[in-house]
Amino acid sequence: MTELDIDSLMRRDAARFEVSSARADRLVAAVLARVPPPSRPRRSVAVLCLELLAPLTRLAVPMAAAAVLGVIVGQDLLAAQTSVRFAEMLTASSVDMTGL
Amino acid sequence: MLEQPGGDPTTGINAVGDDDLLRAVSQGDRGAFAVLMERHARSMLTLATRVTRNVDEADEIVQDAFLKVWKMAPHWQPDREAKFTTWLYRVVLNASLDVRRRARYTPLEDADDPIDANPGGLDLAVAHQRDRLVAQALDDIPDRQRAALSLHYYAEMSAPQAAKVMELTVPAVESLLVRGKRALRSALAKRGITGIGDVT
Repeated sequence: MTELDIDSLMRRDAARFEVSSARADRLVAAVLARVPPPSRPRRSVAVLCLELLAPLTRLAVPMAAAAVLGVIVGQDLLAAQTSVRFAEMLTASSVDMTGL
Repeated sequence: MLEQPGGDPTTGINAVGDDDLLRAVSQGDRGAFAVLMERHARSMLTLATRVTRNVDEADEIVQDAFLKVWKMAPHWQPDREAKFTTWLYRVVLNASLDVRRRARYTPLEDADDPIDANPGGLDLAVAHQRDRLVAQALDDIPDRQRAALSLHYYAEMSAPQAAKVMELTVPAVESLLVRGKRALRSALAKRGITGIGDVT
């Protein structure tokens, strides 16, 4: 068998196994089906906690303000304290301003 | 999705180089990955099928090779690594030769198709016989010679192209091709094939 015979035999052998474009398309689809979905970037614990508490923070300030107001009104602290504070402030500011 | 400015987007992306597609793939771009696979799937399947002579095994090998591409894309360094196609051919060829090496110990006679008595059945039987004898003869020759012959005949590569895939010099591949053809000739002769007329 000459080298040309080997060439001819091997080329004929190779020609037996042609691949259709439909088979290649099926392979591409099969690989895409096996590729894992894109993963979301990892976030730190602090960011995760903030994200979880975010809806609560919107309510926290009004709720705290309402609680403080309730205590002040309920215990009748507002008038007494205000007058004391005003008296103190007036005294202090008068001394500061007039030097008397 | 990787896009080229202006014109038909399909034409644009088809003009994008493998390295640019790999860069997009590294960012999870499935569209770029599909384009990259469409570009190379057929040639890789052809090589794997011709070496393994088994469609299912060839499909599995090429699928695994592309999944490896998806995983290694973030680490691909185009300036330092070999050309992408060279690397892909190397992965597919080595996996195919491994499968073929394992199949060597499976008696081919067990897998024979029954001979078709219809017109054309004889041609088919001759082709099948030739396939079997060539496969057995190729199994007999040393691994590196078989790899060089596979790239030359089954991937239709020149010696310089095969040299890159095999990470050898061009003269080394040329020498493997010469010795491989000689070894193939004697392996065929052992099976009673001394001329092309014996298998046509």
